[in-house]
Amino acid sequence: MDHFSLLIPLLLALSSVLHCLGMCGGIVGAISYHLSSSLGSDRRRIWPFLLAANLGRLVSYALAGGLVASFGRTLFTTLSPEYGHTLLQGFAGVILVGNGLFLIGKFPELHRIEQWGGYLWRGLEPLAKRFMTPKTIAQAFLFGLVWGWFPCSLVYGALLWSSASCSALSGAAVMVLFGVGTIPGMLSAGWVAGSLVRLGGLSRFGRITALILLGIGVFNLILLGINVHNPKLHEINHIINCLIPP
Amino acid sequence: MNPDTQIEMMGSSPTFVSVLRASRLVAATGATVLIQGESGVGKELLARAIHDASPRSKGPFVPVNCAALSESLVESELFGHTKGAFTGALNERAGRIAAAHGGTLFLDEVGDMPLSIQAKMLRFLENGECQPLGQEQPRKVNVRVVAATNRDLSALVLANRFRQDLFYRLQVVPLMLPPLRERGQDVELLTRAFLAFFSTRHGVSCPVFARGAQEVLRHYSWPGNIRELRNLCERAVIFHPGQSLDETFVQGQLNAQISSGQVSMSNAELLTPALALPNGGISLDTLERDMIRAALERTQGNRTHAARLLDVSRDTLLYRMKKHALR
Ligand SMILES: Nc1ncnc2c1ncn2[C@@H]1O[C@H](COP(=O)(O)OP(=O)(O)OP(=O)(O)O)[C@@H](O)[C@H]1O
Ligand SMILES: [Mg+2]
Repeated sequence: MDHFSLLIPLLLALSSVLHCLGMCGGIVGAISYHLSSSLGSDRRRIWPFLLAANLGRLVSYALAGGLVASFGRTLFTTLSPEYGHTLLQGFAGVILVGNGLFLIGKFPELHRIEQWGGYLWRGLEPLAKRFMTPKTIAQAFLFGLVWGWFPCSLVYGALLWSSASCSALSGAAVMVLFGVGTIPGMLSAGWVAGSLVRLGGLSRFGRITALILLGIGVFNLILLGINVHNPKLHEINHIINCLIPP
Repeated sequence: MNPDTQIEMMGSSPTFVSVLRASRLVAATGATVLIQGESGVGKELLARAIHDASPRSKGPFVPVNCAALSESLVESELFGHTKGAFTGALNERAGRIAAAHGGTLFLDEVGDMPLSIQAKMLRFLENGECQPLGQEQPRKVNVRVVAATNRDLSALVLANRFRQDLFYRLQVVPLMLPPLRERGQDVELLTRAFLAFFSTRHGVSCPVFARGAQEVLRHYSWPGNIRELRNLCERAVIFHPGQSLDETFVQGQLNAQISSGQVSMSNAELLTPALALPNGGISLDTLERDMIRAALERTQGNRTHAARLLDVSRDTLLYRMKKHALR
């Protein structure tokens, strides 16, 4: 249970399967189409390209996760050397609640960040277009590296949460886990999309996972409140530590 | 040249912007795209934008409205025919697919494509071969397909009115344009842009909407989406140049649009029962006749549009009109 917090990025990813299908499913579809028309329809030759692209995406996520985590840590310990860690824990709880609310449609403000991400993306888009039709596995990987910066509120939600990590390394790990969680949704795009029954099931599933995240966030904040009043309750301290990235 | 193309696709709401971003990436490949969304959300505009952003932009963009073609003509229209392939085929004809060689074929209202033609369409999508009527040898063509529909294709598949295999072939890249009512601040942004655009075009000074009017616009449900807003702005410019317009103007305009029925129904509306059965029962025959008559009245006798209102093919409508001796 000590590393319960590592389940959270997976939950985050799973609750967004439907979103991934809708937004990035088309991008995956387009690349697969390109690959099957240039390599032939043999699936075994296409897979390595798709895996390379997703690997590239994970590398970018890890980089971003490491960056924001070291930034977050520095920020909070500078703000208050004494209570920096507690602040970080509170921040993690707030971010979880925010993510949960966003996923059930009650916190659209998270979209704001997408606008800032959009400015960065403007610079990257020409590169993405260039590698959109990869001829080699290396190019597919490069596409993935760029694709990782495609503006996406869910990625930003996960990033915010990873910024509450205690080290750059665990921030990176959180984002890699999140990325791994998104792969099944991404690759099954063609298969799931369009079937009303499956989509209905997915949206219910997404809501449930979102509510679980919300619950964990609230739970974390309550425990933190108790903890601030009674710092001696070691049990509670331990649980809180399990709830935020190590 | 379509005068609409003078306007870029505008908007800043997150879902809309994401779809645009994805579409620009996807344009770089030759993948088949399926654009879905309610009437008037900009499906055709997006299809053109994809063509323009693609390596095929120098090639032709060939739109085909699948709802406007009668079942008997659709095959030769799309695939072409040889001389004498059927009675009335006096000359050879290349067909729209061949005309799109090196460019993009835009299959608009693809949900209305007659079932009889869907199998042939599927073959074309699978191997890029186009077989004109009356010709043995299929011809290889290099065409990128972008399709659009305001119907729920997966529901049509479930109802056995659209082939599932064709559906999967079409939606390699599914893009979903959001309705205007879900685009928040975009109503304001688009209103300003349309007012400015039409005042320049008509050479008059720009009217403005007073605060109350803007409030009404923001909370309206926009069943006709951007087309409806655009038309409203053009009327404002033409009839009230340079004036400040209040909510009475807007309300009057919106009601007028609803009753003139140019606004097509959303999928949700199509799925809920449109009419309740009267307690005393009703004659189905009379109901059909009345509905056809009402549809024709509303569309000022335009049979293609009336068929669309009734969700049947034009041929079906013509047949039923004959049955009820309507004209
Ligand atoms: N984002 C946009 N910015 C500016 N104008 C737009 C935008 N989207 C659509 N329009 C305008 O709205 C009108 C309707 O667009 P369009 O014909 O592409 O809709 P559609 O989805 O194809 O509708 P239908 O389903 O009825 O065929 C056009 O005049 C188009 O120029
Ligand atoms: Mg259209």
